[in-house]
This record gives sequence, C-alpha cells and structure tokens, in this order.
Amino acid sequence: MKNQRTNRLLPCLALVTLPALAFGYIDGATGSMLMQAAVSGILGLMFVGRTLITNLFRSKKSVSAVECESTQQ
Amino acid sequence: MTSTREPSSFRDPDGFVFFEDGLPFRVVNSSFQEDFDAIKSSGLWQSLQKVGDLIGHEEIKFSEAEFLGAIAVLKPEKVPFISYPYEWGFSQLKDAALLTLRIQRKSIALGMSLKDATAYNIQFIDGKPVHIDSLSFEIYREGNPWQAYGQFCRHFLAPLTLAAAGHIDTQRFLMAFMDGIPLDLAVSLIPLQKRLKPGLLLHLQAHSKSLNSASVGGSSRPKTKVSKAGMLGLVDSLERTIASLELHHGRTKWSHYYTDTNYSAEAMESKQNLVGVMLDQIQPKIVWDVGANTGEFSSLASDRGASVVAWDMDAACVDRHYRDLKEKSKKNILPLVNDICAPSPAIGWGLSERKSFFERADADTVMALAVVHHLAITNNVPLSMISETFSRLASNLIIEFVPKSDSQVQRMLSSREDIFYKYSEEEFEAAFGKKFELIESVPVADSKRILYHYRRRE
Repeated sequence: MKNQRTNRLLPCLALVTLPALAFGYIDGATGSMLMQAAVSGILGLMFVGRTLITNLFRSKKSVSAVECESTQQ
Repeated sequence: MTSTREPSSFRDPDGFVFFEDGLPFRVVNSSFQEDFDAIKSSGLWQSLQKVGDLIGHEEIKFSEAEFLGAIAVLKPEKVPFISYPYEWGFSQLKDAALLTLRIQRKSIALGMSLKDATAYNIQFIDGKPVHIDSLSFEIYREGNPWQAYGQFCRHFLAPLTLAAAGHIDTQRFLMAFMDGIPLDLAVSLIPLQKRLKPGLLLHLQAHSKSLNSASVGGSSRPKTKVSKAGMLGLVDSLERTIASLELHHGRTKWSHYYTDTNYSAEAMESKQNLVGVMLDQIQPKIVWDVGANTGEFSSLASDRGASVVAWDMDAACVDRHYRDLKEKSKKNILPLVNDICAPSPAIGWGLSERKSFFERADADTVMALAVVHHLAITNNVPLSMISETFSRLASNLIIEFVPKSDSQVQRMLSSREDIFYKYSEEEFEAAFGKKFELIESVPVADSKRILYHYRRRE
C-alpha cells in the first residue's frame, strides 16, 4: 500500500519540480540527463528495496527447501 | 570479390559495416580500442550470444593496408531478412524494447553500458529479436547517466504507448521520425487517462517537459550524477512500464477475415490443398506471402521448409500472427506490416539509409491469395500494373483470381459504381501472361475462384 502511494507521488513530484530546471542549448540529450538525475535516486531506492525483499523471500524459500531436503533424508 | 559499404553505417565513428559477396563484415576503428578491450574482457558478448540476445560473430584476420586505422574486423552472422521498426507489429516492438533493456541490465552488471538504444539495432531472427550491433557498447562509468535513455523512449516507449492507447497504426510514424517519435508529440496524442500510470508520467510526460525546459534559456550542459542503483532502478522502471503496455485487440477491417469469409469449409480445404500442391512443385526457399492476414497460408510454405515473410497492411493481424507464432515456437515466418499499395519506401540520408521494401526483395516465390480484387477494385490498380509489380518480386507466383460474381467482390461493388470493365478472367490471364508463363490454373472447389501458378518470363 505504502509502495503504491510512493509510486503515485513520485511522478507528481517530478512534474512539479522539473519545469524549474531550465538549462542549456537546444540538445535533446540534456533534458534526458536532467530527467535521469531527477528521478534515478528514488527509482534506485525502490529498486534496491524491491531486490532486498525479493532476496529475503528467496533465501527464506531456499532455507525451507533445504529443511525439506534434510527432513527427507 | 565485390565489397560495398552498408549505406546506413556512418553515424558511429567507432566502426562500420561492409558487405563482401553478400556477407556482412564489421570494421572496428582504433577509437573503440579501450571499449573493445573492456567488452572482450567483460565476457558480455559471450554472455549475450549464449542466450541468443546478441548476434554471433567471429573475429577474422585482416590486412592493415586494407583497413587503415582498424583494430579488428568482425564477421557477424547474416540476418536473413532486414526489417525495420515501422514494419513490426506491436508485440515485436515490445519484445525488441524488452530485449534492449535486458541487454542494458546485463551490460551494467558486467561494467559496460549500451551507448545507443535505436530500434534499428534489433532484427528478428528465427522468430525472436536479436541485437545486431556488437559495437553498441561502452565502458560503464558509475555516475554517468544513460546517454541512450532519450532515444530508448522515442524509439520504443512512445510508439508502444501510442499503440496501447488505441492508435495502433501510429507505429508507422517511425518512418517519418527516424530517430523515434518526439515525446511531446506522443504526449499530445495520448489521452490523459491513458497516461495515468507512474511509468508513463515519468518517462513520457515529465521526460517531455524536461526536454522542453532544457531547450530554452541557460548556457551550458549541466553536470548530472546517476548512481549504479539509480541506473538499475531506471532500467527496472522502464521494463515494468513497457511490460505493462498491452494492445487492446479491437476489431479491425481485416482481423476477422477468416471467420467472416465467404469460403465454405470445402472451398477452404480445396484452396489449402491446391496451394500445398503448387508449393510442392516449386519447392521454394524464400516465400513472400502478400496480404498474409494471420498467416493461414504462410504456414503451408513454412511447413515445407521455406522461410516466409508474411506481410499485411493490417497491424492488428500482423500482431496476432506474431503472437501466435511465438506461442507455437514457429521460427521461419516473419510477419510484417506493409501495404503493397504503399510499400515502405527508401528513407534516410541520401534515401539509402533504410532500403525500400522492394529493394529488399529476395524471394523466389510470391503468394497473393485473395488479394487481386482488393488491388483492382478497392484501389483501382490496373491488372497490367499488378502483374508488373509481382514480376519484380519473385520468379514464381501463386495467385488467386476472384471473379466479379464472387460474393466478396459483389459486396465491394455494392457501395460504388462498377467501372471495372476490364476486371475479368480473360483480362487477368492476358495481363499476367505478358510477364509470366502459365504453369497451371485450377478452380477452387465450391467457389468461383481460380488459383494460378505462374513463372516469370526471363
């Protein structure tokens, strides 16, 4: 639920903050780089968080799989 | 030996492609030395090639006198048929997008990064997308943003979002916008409610605003930092956004052709048998199925070992055909969007960067089943011109003539004046007889249609 809320808030935040950044000559790449700088921090956090949770479940699963195997023996 | 430089290979100073006796070679220039050494030691090429995501290649010996300033010459596998993103169906472009992101993720993990994300670097081989540019990589330096991010959004995200929003034919916009659909144009064409997804608001809406604000005022390029986690987060977010885009298969003009057709079961079976017999006689290697719809007859040729390029003007049919082939793991049919009345033209620098569809003709057999009446009556193309065009494409032609008395033609004529005085079996045979030698003509059972097998006059 909290994650969903962050998902919705993030673009709104970017929309509000980005127009203030006015830089440079006419260069397509500049806007794309600014965009990445603006959003990569939070996307990175979300990615790391998701990876940690996935790994946690995966390791729990593998522990139970090992337990299963050991009881079978 | 004749060698020609690939006309589209001029943008990358790190190398170029040339063809010798029809085989491709990629020259690596000394400016790529550092990245070349890094990519070789990273194991990225092998890792991608192992799963079929990158085209296989071998490094060959070369004389320095022949290639001044070159550090290596690669011999990549030959792509059977070069197709372009504006000829792909929605799911093909989506699979190509996901492949690009998968490659970028793997590249980052191995210390490299994609330096471009053009859809033209992807080709379909054996039914799946494959990256064909081995030099599209550079050393990943943590902190640097992904310089191909904007290009990725223009080449993949914008057209896919437009199609998912209901504008399926806008993928053809890629023909006009060779470096991808401008994000502000895409945003203006997509209804607000279709944009209300976090990924789309970020990578399309906010990205477009960012591009516009960066192009007004100010003086110099800003210094931006993107951490490795941020880079992986960006790729992950793009993957999720692309994966969530789906085509809503509504009814298009041709999407229910086989279920709405006037063929009886007997006529359909007879047509399949007759086409099968003609294919057995020809034993084709490469077949172009013109107006292939969802590929009912393309599979007859592919089952006989031929490689088939199955094209149709209806993007929904092509998409359905591709998904069906993917599900069945059928490898030797390439469905493409192309209209024979307005085939893909040559485009780009000097009109030679992207070849026209007909320039890429390499088929030995063309099948044009239930097509002629649409060309002659719906599009007013004289039979002599249809014959002339088909004679340019292949030496064998399997073609179906649908007479005026057929209910489909009657339906077509019901809404317009019949000005097609020359549309008859006799005129058809006379027109095609000028360019082709008749091998066989057989009526389709339980119908008024006739199947012809013609061979081009040399």
